Amino acid sequence: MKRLLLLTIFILILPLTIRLLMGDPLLYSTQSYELFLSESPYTLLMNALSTFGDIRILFSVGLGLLSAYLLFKLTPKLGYYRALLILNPLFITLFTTLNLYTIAIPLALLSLKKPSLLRLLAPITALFSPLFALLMLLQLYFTEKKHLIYTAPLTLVFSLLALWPPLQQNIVVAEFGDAFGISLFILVLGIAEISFNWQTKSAALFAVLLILAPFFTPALIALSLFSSWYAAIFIRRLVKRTWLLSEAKTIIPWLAGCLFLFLLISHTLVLANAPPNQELVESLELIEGVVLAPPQLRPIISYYDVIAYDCSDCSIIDRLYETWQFDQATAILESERIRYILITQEMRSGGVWNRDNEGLLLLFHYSNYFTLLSDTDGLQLWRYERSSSRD
Amino acid sequence: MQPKLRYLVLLISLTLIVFILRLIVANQVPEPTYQSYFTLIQGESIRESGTPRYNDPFSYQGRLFSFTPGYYYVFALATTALPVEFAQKVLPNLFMVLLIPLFYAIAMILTKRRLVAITTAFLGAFAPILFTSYLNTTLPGSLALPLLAGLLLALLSLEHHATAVIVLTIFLSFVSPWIWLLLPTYLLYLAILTAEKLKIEPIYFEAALFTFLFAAWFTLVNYKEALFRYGFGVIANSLPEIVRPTIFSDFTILAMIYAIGVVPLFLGCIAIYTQTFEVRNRRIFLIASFALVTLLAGVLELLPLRDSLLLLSLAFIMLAAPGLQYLFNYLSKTRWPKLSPYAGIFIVFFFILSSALPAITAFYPQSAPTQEEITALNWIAENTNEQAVILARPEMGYLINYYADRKYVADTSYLLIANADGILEDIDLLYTSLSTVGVVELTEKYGITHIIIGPKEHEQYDSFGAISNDKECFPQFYKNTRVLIHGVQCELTR
Repeated sequence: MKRLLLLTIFILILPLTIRLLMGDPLLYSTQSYELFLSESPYTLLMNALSTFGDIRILFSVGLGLLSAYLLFKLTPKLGYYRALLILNPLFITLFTTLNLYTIAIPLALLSLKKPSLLRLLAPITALFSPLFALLMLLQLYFTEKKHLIYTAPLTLVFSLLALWPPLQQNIVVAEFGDAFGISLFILVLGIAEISFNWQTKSAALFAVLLILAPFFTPALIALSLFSSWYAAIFIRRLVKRTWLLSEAKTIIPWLAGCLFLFLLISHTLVLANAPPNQELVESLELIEGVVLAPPQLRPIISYYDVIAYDCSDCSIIDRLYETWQFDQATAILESERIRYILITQEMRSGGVWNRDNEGLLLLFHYSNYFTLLSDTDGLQLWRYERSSSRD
Repeated sequence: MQPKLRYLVLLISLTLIVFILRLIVANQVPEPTYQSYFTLIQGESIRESGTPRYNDPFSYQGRLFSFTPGYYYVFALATTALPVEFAQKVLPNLFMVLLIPLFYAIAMILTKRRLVAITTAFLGAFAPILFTSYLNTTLPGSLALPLLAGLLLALLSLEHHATAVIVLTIFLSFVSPWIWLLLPTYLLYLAILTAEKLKIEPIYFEAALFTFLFAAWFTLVNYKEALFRYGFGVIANSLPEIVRPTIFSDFTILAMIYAIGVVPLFLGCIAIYTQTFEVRNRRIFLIASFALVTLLAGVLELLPLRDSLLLLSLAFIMLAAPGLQYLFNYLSKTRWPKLSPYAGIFIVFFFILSSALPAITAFYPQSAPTQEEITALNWIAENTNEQAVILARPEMGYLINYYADRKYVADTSYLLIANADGILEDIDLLYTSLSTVGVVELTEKYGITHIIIGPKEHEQYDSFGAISNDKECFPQFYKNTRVLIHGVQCELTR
């Protein structure tokens, strides 16, 4: 076995050594580089590994060695002929480059060696190769069918994550002011209740939703409802139990009540202050041309039959906001045919500017070419008076 | 004298000696440090109006502060009876020396040996980072540390000190966000007990739940604006890029050794090893959980480096007690059992030579304002109109607020400040740019009327640009031996 493993090491590092001696980068093949342009669990893993230095190729080689070891262990009767298992071009290529299968293959081989680990290995493999994971599920089906009920949904979830391009995370939290966010507080209470019954099917479903929620809005909604249900059960459990920490017994229900009340009030205010408001609608009635407004207001402005400026290259608008040079500002306004500019309180409070006399705001104050049409509740509508109209 | 009384006298003497020593070292610098002035401002506001100054018209020319107010109320209460100059020196040092009897009490619970307990208290009294912290700086951390230590002491026998746990949790929540370290500590502790197949007392679940609910409620109410703006990134993203590396420096083993001391670190590691693999003492698991959580928080840059080293030293001093006891017990089983007490003396001497003495003698006081800076600020208060805006380094911000009562461009509280990076870059440009037009543009942007060039500015910049060279646009209004104040006389024509 030792000799076979030494042979494996030699075979795997040979092409890399030649490349090193020739002064070429160790990382070869277009596929390796394409992988880095994608956003996948594998890329995230490689980026995490690169914090320890460039050991990514060594990681592949190490996994190749592990795969070879597992192959040798699975085929003891072949003796020295097991060397032919690794004298395989594809095997050498796979474990001297970066690709998804460097992780999937050893996991699949490990599951053959130790079938009891299939329940854990199949979902992990799904992150890197859903097809390999499917094969492992088939193996599980023929060995321990009863475990499929937990493993299959989890494997499916991870496969979806691996296949879904790009891997976007959008964690929206109500406590951070997101109108469509889930409440962290309710989620934690829900998880606390789940921990008492974590081996049930509904707990498995909760876990699946928890994984999917950052990526899919329907999962977020379902998780939110689930969490509220479990949180309610948990609060009931707290109220009815006999407390050892007797001082906390009175305080905790009040605290929970205060938290729910705070969440309710805070979220209600977020929704009540969400755009549009009456001032915005009234301002829009004064507009008779193209208006420059923050991107999040454009659909609302269009709804009210006003033409909102839609930029293909928004860097020009950033330059417009930043400049306090009149010539530059008017050149941009003329070229983009903008007649009106809508300024919100958020823009003046750090969204775009930090001071009242910063950038374009300075021009508003000092130039006669800008007329303030309305200023209510922090919302300002300015009209740009074209040079020709003033002549 | 009875042993109990003898050790009590030793403990009181140690506490008093350390308190006096701290005051002597602190008085090397008469003025409080620059950061302390925030406490002075809040204390003054509470004394006058009963509430802290959340809405400050001077800071960044008008902004909302977000902070835990507990310590400032305590400071304000103290300054109703004591002079401010006296309280700002005595109060933080008093809070820090409270750690000594707490270390003694914790060591007694863990080891039930007075000699070990008094040695642990000595190690805690002179641990480098604990001794040199909050000597001349009055900040909430000075109170949060003994509160945290007291909370851990109460948690060691939670069944008998439930009320203390509740009260200290509430108090600590009002003083410092460090309360959030306790929640993962509880969870890790319960996970360790589960893994070790030890019985889990439900009372710890209840304590964890109470801590979570109270800390969550207080944090949501107190930091609502910050959470709305920064979300999960509230710790790191609220700091400017320029400042972040100095506050969240790399966490290294060497930094840990230097801050905690070789001896407490070594003894703490012995305790963790023996208790984990041999004895399995649940109390040690609790303190080890706290140490591990703090270490992780430091490595993951969830805590500033200094805070994580302070809290780690707290944990390792506590763990040093069972480590010491293990050492003594081990020695008593060797051929020379009578050497056991001498080993304790040797450890103390080695600690004094390796950690305590260097910490005291090499201590460099944190910079504090000079008398010239204060005089200059008093001049500003008397000779400028109320709408004046002062440019100075952010470190001077609270000082301008406290003495001059004028608006200024920036201070070191960056939470809820949009584009803090841009403001700091502009400050650098204002001081160093050779272009008068560029500087005047920036003075108009911020409405600056006066520019201070003092020790802090000389520390940061090797040379100054247009503000020093152009006497016409930036005439000198005031000068003393260390501070110059320039005015702004030019404006851009459009």
